[in-house]
Parts: sequence; C-alpha cells; structure tokens
Amino acid sequence: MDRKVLAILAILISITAFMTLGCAGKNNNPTPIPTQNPATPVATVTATPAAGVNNSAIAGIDPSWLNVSGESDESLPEDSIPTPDASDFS
Amino acid sequence: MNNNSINRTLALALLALAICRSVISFNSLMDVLWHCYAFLKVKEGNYMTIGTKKWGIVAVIMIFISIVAISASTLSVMAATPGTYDQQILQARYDITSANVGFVTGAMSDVASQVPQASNLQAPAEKLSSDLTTLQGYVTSVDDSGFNSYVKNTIIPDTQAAQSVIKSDRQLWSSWNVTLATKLQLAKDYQSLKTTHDSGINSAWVELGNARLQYYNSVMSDNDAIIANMSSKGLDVSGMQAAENNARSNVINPLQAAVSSGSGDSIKQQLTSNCLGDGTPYSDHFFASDDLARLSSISAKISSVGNLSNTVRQQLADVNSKLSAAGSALQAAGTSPYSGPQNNDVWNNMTAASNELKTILSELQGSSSTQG
Repeated sequence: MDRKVLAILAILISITAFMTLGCAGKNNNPTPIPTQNPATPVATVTATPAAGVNNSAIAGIDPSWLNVSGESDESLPEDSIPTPDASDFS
Repeated sequence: MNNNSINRTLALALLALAICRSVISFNSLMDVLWHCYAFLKVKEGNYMTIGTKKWGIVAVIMIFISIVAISASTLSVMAATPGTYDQQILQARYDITSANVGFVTGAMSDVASQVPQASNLQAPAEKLSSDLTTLQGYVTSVDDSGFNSYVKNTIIPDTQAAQSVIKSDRQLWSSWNVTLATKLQLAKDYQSLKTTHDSGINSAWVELGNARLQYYNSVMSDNDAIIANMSSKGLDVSGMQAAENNARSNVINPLQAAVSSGSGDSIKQQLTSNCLGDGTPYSDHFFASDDLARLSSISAKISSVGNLSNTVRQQLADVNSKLSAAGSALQAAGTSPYSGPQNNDVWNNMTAASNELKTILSELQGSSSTQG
C-alpha cells in the first residue's frame, strides 16, 4: 500500500471524524446540565407523581409545544412619511 | 486499466461516499472504517499504474472537498432560514421608506440646484440620505424594533423638518425673484419625481405584500404540523384550529386577494389595516390566541391523568390561573392593538404558564421513564 495514499486517507478520516463529532456537539436540544446540587436532598423534588400515575397519556406531549412565540409590532410607520406637495413646487 | 485497478478505484469511490455520509451521520463513521478496510483488502496494488493512483487520490480529495463545501453551505442556509422572512419584510419596508424619502430629497435638491437662495435645503436633504444608510443597517442586522424606532423617531421627524424648510422657502420665492420659467421647470420636475415615486412605492408595497404573505403562510404551515401532531396524540386542537380559521378568513385570505390583484394600493390598504399579530387597527392576535389554546389543551391533558400528586395539581391550578389571566387580557384587547398593560398581561402570564408546564411535564415524563 502506498504510504501517501494511507496518509491522505488517515487525514481525511480524521477531519471527517472531527467534523462529525463537532456537528454532534451542536445538538439543538442539548440535554440540560443538572443544576441541582448533588447534596440537595431528593425530598425537595416535589412533583414526583404517586405510583400508578397514567403517564402514557402525557408521554407523547412534545415539550416544544409549550414554547410561546410572542407578538411583534406589525405596524408600518414608514407609511406616515410625508411626501412633498405639488403646490410647493410651482 | 485492469480489474484490480478498477476494484481499487471503486473501493476509493465507496470510501469517499462513506466519508461523505459520515459528515451527516455519526453512525456512518463505522462505514468509513469498513470501506477503508475493504480498500486495503484490494490486493495487487502494484499493478495499478502511477497515473491511476494519482487520479484516484485526486478524485477522493475533490469529492471530499465538494461534500464539505456543500455541507457547509447547506448548514449556513439552514441557519439563515428562521430570519429569512424577517429580512425580506424589512427590506421591502426599507424600499417603501426609500421611495418616500427619495421623493423628498429629490425635490429638495432640484429646488436647491435651480434657486441659489435655497441652499438651506441641501443640509436636510443630506441628513435624510444619511438616515437611509443608517436604516439599511437595521435591515442587515434584522432588527425589527430598531427599524421601527428609527423610522418613528428619526426619519419621520427629519422628513417633517425638511418639509417645513421647503414650505418656508417657497414663501420666499417672490422675494427671491424666481422666474416663471424656473417655476415651470420645477413643477415639471416635481411631476417627473412623483411618477418615479409612485412606480417605486407600488413595487415596494407589492414586494412587502408578497413577503408578509409568505411569512403568514409559513406560520400557518408550521401550526398545521403541530395541530396534526397534537391531534394524533389525542390532544384537543379545536382552539388552535379556530384561531387559525379566524386568521385565515380575516387576515391571510384578504391579503392573498390583494397580492393576487398586483395592486400596490390594495396591498397597502390590507397591510396597514389588518395584521396577524399586533399593531394595526384590526390586530388578529393570532399568536396569542393560538399559544393560549395550545397551552390550555396541554394543561387539560395533564390534568386528566389519574393519581397526580397534590403538588402537581396545585401547580396545574397555578398554570390555569395564569392562562385565565392571559385570556382575560386578550379578550379585553379583542381585535384592537394592545393598549396599556395588555401586552404584558397576555405574554408575561403566558410565558410563566409555559415555563411552569415545562417543569411539570419534565418531571412527569422523567418519572415515567424511570418507572417504565
């Protein structure tokens, strides 16, 4: 096997792996980093449902459905820019 | 070229393809290793001519570079997508502004060039031209609120100031002994500038109508996808559907008709009177209505789950209270633009309810996965 070929392949694969891992690192929905202090007692987690909760009903809810959009101002103030009167130019 | 060199070339090509796929999928990285192994397994490399080897290497490098370039450009296009409509809309609004301001500065420069005493028109004309350059910066940075603020607080006052100078100068024409021939020429030039303005402004309104319509349609398309997903999971989507139907009949369909007519005046009439969000005499507040319906549906779905803890039930009651407050403020606004604290009452309550629901859902879904 030609060493040059091997060297080029090694470089290409390295670059590809680097890019792939880089893309994987840019996950749009990264797993939240736990902010809870490990020493915090588990008892502070208050919303744990009682055993037997029918969670299958909520398993399909996509958290992104809970995002709110906000409303932008769609007014067009540029329509109020005054233009010259013909009477001022005759 | 013998069979071995063909095999080796094919192996190189397959390896290149595997490398390309690995850019998209991490799992495909294993394919790279497999194809690399396959390439190495092709024996009798010595029979391969030097020329074939070189071309094979060049081909692999070229394919790799092409794929990297295509991937990079695709990623950049995807990244630009969310703001695409915003920038198109701002550019069209800039074009409307530019047509109006250009009419003013053109008329001022014309007078200044033919009436020497009217040199005081030059400075405000230059200021307005400078304003347009600044405004273009807001388009480039897709700064919607900055654009609105600059038009309201800088360009309109500067234009009004320029108009005042025009009018005060006009009153002095007699004392400046402006000749009849000059007056006739200025009137003729004015008509020419007005024709240019009318044409430009019509095109700009058509441009804005198309951009807004595309944006509205993309909003509806996204909403349809969410409705379909939620419906398939058994959630009530009637409120969202009603909000969408309302938006289509009151805002989107009339705008579509105006855009189809190609009339800048019709489009202007629609865009300055009706909008999907907030800010025009008829403000549909679709985004608020739709978000409120969606959050209420999800809250109701979670509430219907059996055996929730008291804590979760209290949290849900708090969510419903916030949604109710948002709904009351929205109902008070009706189809008028928000006034007073209405905007904050709607969106602060909705955002708080959203965050609380996210916490509840995260905990319930997390506990579900640990139980399951």
